[in-house]
Amino acid sequence: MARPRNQERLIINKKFAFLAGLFLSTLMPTVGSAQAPGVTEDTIKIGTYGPITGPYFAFGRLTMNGMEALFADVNEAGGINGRQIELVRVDDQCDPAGAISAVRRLIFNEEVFAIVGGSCSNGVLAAKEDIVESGIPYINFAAASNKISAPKEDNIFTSMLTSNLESALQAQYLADVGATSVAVVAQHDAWGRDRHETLIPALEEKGIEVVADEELSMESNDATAQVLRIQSAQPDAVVLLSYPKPASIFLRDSARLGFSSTFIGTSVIPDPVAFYEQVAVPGATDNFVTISPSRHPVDSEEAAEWREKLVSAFPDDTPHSYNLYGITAGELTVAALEAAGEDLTRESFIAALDQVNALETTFGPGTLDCSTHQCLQSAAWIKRNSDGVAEVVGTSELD
Amino acid sequence: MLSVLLTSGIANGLLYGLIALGVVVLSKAANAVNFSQGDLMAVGGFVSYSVISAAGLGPAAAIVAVLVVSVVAGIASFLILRPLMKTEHVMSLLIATIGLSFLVKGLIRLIWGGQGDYLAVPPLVQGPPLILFGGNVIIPLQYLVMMAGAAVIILLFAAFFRFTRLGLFMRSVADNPRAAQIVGIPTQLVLCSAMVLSITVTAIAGFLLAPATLIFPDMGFALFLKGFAAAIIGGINSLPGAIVGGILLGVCEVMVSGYVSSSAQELSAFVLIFVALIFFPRGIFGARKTRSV
Amino acid sequence: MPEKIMKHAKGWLNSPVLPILIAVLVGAFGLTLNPYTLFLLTRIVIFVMLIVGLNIMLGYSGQFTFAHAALFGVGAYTTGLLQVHLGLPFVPSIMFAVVLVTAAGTLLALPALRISGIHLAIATLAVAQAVTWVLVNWTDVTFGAGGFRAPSLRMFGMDKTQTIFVVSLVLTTAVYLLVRQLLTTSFGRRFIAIRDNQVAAAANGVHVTRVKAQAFAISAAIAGLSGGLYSSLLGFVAPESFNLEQMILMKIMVVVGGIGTMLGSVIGPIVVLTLQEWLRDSEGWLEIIFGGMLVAFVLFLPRGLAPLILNAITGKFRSQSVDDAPQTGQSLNAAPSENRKDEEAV
Repeated sequence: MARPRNQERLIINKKFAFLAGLFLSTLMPTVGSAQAPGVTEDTIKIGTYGPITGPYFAFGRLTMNGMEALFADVNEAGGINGRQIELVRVDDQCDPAGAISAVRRLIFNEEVFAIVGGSCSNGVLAAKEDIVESGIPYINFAAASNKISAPKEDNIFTSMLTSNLESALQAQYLADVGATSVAVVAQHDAWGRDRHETLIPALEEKGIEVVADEELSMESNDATAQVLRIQSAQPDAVVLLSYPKPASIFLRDSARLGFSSTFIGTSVIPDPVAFYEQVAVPGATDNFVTISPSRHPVDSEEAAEWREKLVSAFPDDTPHSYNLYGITAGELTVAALEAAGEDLTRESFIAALDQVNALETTFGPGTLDCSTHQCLQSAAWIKRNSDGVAEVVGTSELD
Repeated sequence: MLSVLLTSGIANGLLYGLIALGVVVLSKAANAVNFSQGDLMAVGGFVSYSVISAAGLGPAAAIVAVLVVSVVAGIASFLILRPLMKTEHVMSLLIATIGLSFLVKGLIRLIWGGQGDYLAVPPLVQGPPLILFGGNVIIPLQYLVMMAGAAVIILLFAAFFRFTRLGLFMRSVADNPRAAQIVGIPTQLVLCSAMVLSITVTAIAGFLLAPATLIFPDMGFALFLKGFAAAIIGGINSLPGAIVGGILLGVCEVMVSGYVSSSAQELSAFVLIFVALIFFPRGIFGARKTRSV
Repeated sequence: MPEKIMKHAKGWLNSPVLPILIAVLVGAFGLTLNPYTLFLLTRIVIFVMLIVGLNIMLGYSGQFTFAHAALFGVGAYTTGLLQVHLGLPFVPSIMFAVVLVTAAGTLLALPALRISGIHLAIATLAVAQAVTWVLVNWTDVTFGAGGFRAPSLRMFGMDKTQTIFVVSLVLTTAVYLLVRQLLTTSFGRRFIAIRDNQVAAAANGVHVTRVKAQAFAISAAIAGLSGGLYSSLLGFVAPESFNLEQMILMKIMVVVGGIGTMLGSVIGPIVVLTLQEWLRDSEGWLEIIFGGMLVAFVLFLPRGLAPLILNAITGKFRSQSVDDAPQTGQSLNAAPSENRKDEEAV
């Protein structure tokens, strides 16, 4: 597969490491040195994991691609205090057992300095105990569950918009546009549940009534029943807690049945122009506005430079806004590594992360502030305008 | 509300019916079930994506491409599975086709995986939906295309089984493979064409449904399961039964979703499958065939 | 003379000494491993137990079902939920899980009395999907699709992975020996009689209905036990750990190891789970390799790796003619009974 050459070597190394680990790990005493694990004179080894293959690859592989592109830039400019960043990828295929084994492999066999990764909430939650016990610095880059980073753990940070924050921002947006009644369409998998659990109380808090609460599964090819039920409830707005596929089916059927309302998306549909093309029914997404942890979508003017870098490094993968979440996570990592200084230890890195309070990033809607360890506190609202271009209609932070 | 629900239930059920047709053809001629059928349907959708969206050609080119790919896939499947296409190996065949299903899904990911998590195929015909009876029945044009496609396929199949020698051969091989061999029917040719036909009709179903939904590599299995259920409900050896079974399933789903709760929609399909299998294993159109023990 | 040695060798293979010895060695080795490698090893040990049980249903009584992953999941959920909701300790929780899953498995035998073959396979598939639906939608009890944190077991001053490793290893060895013993009794032979020829078995006075239900019950009990252990190993229970994908992984283990063989139940999980871990870096080839492997085994090695390995071990003691056993044309539906006694050993 097309990937940078040095990564080719890295993968072979990983296979050797795995075999060696399986058969020899016990026979070899751990190398004791003054350096922190994964840090040498001229390298820092960072581990990442998430779905690289399988149905959810976009959340993992694409986010990793963005982060890797950023690290390549940093390395080219001389690295961090003279050290080059090495990225080790492990595939967890979005499976809890896979995530536990990926995290343990990174900690015990790869002996990485820190982990920046995690895409599926259930996987991260399954591996959380191991992460906490080992004390390894961990930045979660794509999984959204609030339970990952709250209650606050010393070594766990997140650069992704957490589900409770996203829900609160959605509720705030709805209150701002004057909606008093809302319908919810959710897919009932781990991701959809997590959103649903946080959105309903957030709406209540703003005094917004939930007049319809429907499910639309990934397998559905038809949403007639859901549209009709919601239509008869006459909500001011509809929140689509679903992946692009169910959301597009819902919007198509709404257009067909003549139902129109304000449709609110989530951060898995961060690009309304790409979504418009997926729905492929003229006019169906006219009232669709979506929330994104990235200030610009990937096909915007502002992201052009990164798009080129991504395409040349990963020609097989079409650029996607998830790439940009990886860039944000990478920038946070790099900033904290730089702040931790020459004598890099896990403690100094965590302390540096704790100090982050107004970090500007290329794509973050606002600055990053890690005092609660949930570093991203803001989101952008994006809409496809009448010229067919994605337009940021505003960024919001929690009141 | 009822008429709108019924319409979409029927349209959605036609989809299941098309997949069920593929199940029935294989079962009729070879007494076999192919678990990779759903994934080959996905292949049909992805090939039409490549032809229509990526290469910018028309639907006619897409049909040709889907046909070519499905004939090749059919012959390849037959060659791989040939040693298992005997009644006594029906379970081995089932397991082998589960393996094929993995294989095909993996190949789809390898070929189309990097192009995005979901791909969209534009509708074959553009235009406003057909509105009948003062808005009580709203049919999108794509559904009309699907219905027409299904009708054409059913007619072709009926004619094929009734009027062609190969069709007659297929029926006799399914009834009694040994006797058919003795009277000189080329059994292998018949089994091969059954496999090719089954995969072709499924891939065409994929082509017809791709514009009605977004396509992704894992789309196949859930649809196959519903198609299989439709085939069972309709009687596993009946072509019209497959379509009726599909429509029943589609209507059942949309009714449960509309009048009970949308979260019970998925469950209703499983319950229907289970009940049909346990209490009506021969289906509504099934041939009366006694089973031993 | 060679026959005498062979008999001796067979006796040795059939005694409980060898499995216990192997278990002790694995245990000693396992306790020296790092948490990553030990996690993989424990996962293999738990799956060996599960596949021993699945093989009773699939390989010994010839009932092809898709519900095993769901039973495994109900075991894990029950064990975890009783600890979380009622605060029960691990041992009574897992015992109750075994009872519940045994009952569920016996109920599952009811459709198997009416239908068989593909119809049974699809009916149980529908049941499995319905169970997943319940796990996802009965949120008050199961915590829904987001899963829940299950307590990990800690004993004898060992860390959590070591504890569950030792417990799983002991229980897996016990289950293995019990099932092997069971299959040599007339009770267990009835399972095989039904698989090979239901009509003949019935004609010979085997109560088909009862025996089928017994096979399902035993198989389910083992699934419940291994599920409970798995909940403690993962420390996190979520529906995707027990979905159809996992079911297919189990089928691959059975086919690769060898349908209806005790040795195969051990080899299958070792090969498949090691390969799965190794292929994690293969960027998408996992599905293709597993799929191709399943097809290739069904076609060319329908009896799996177990007979090959047995032949390699005992082959030295055998005369040439014994090896001429038919190698093709049987497997899942109609496995020949000749040459099977060796496989039931070990």
